[in-house]
Amino acid sequence: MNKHPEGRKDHELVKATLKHKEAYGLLIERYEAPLLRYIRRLTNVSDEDADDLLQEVFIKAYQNIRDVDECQSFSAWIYRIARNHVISNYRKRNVRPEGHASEIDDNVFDALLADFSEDKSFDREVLRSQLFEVFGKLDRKYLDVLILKYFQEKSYEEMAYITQKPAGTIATLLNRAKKQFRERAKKAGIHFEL
Amino acid sequence: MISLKNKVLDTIEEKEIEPKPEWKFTVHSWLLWASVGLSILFGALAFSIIIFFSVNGDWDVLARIPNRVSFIFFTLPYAWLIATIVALVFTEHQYRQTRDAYRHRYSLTIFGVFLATTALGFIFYYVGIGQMLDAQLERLPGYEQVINPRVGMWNMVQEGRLAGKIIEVLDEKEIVMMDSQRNIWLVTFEEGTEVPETLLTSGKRVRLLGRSLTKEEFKAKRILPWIAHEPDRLRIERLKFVPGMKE
Repeated sequence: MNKHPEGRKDHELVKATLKHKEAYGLLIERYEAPLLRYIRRLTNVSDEDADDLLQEVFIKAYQNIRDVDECQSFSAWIYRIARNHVISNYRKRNVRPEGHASEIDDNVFDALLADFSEDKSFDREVLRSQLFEVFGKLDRKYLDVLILKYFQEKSYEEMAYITQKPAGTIATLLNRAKKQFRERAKKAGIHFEL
Repeated sequence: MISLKNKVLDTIEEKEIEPKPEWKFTVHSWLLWASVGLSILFGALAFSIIIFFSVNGDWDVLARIPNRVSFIFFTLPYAWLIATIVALVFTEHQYRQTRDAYRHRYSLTIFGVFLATTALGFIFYYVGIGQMLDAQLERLPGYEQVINPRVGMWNMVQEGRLAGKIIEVLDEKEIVMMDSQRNIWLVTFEEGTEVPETLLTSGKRVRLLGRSLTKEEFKAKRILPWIAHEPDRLRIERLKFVPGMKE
């Protein structure tokens, strides 16, 4: 059972949704913004298309709401639906979903630096734009885990659930993603200790 | 501007979208597990035939066969090897779709699937299911030519190999035999050929090494059973598989 208070609230809302569909509105409000950011990071579709995708994700989630795993957070469950929907949408349209780290906000930026660098004596804004470029050039599979870890702040367990990959594989992918990030950053002339 | 929340709720209302009932997820889960089980079963059956073919390979006469490497190469049960591999891959794929599969390492599940398939395959072989299945499938047209290449390799009289079913035992030196192409052969044994009595039975399938005298006559210098190592018939009989036996 999910012990996190927010997670408990989510599961209570899921139960309430099965009785009154209006309760689903509260879940939509709670996850609208983070899921939209996630979709926009996963794919390079227009804002309008991203909105449409998000709407479809919420409808799909509503249809499958009885499948919510009580041992897993609702957040991970709906992120999984969103990820699968973006991938299947990409397959249908046969358009490569290229992620674009559109917004590297302060929290994400600090989290990245905490993991990648010990040296804090750099121009944050220059580095931020350089990081934006480096992220755009990473392999899809690496970007996938980096987005979940640094932008959506998901735990290993949640990342494993969302991507349906074993936690060990997630750890390996993250290590490789960091390695590729370091190499690409070096090539782009970003000079900080990684 | 309409909020996303209202858009979604309006769409749900307008299109009368309802959450799928719980039984659908239960049935889906059961179907997945059933496909995993059936796939393991199929892989194990295919593997039991591979064991059966391997144990009954022509190891006993290999030394007497020229080009033995190509003989082994051409008698490998490729169709069953492919069937086993396909079953292993499918099982792993279906298992990956189950709810908690993501928690387990790929190497662990691949090993688990392999272990379950091969262990069950050994059990199936041990109780005679591999042999029984081969005997049943043999009735299908083209099975021997396509699935069991060993039959073709033993239908090469020009290289001194002939196999078939004994139709009639004329005496201890002469038999009438039908090969897999349904050709009838009069087989005589060379002087000094050891002919076990147990083999001289109508309906028995045998392999012969020797030379053809004419298109209908074969001089044999060695006679061997088609199946060298049969699983204990008692086990098969207990399982009531006797009616399906090919001999």
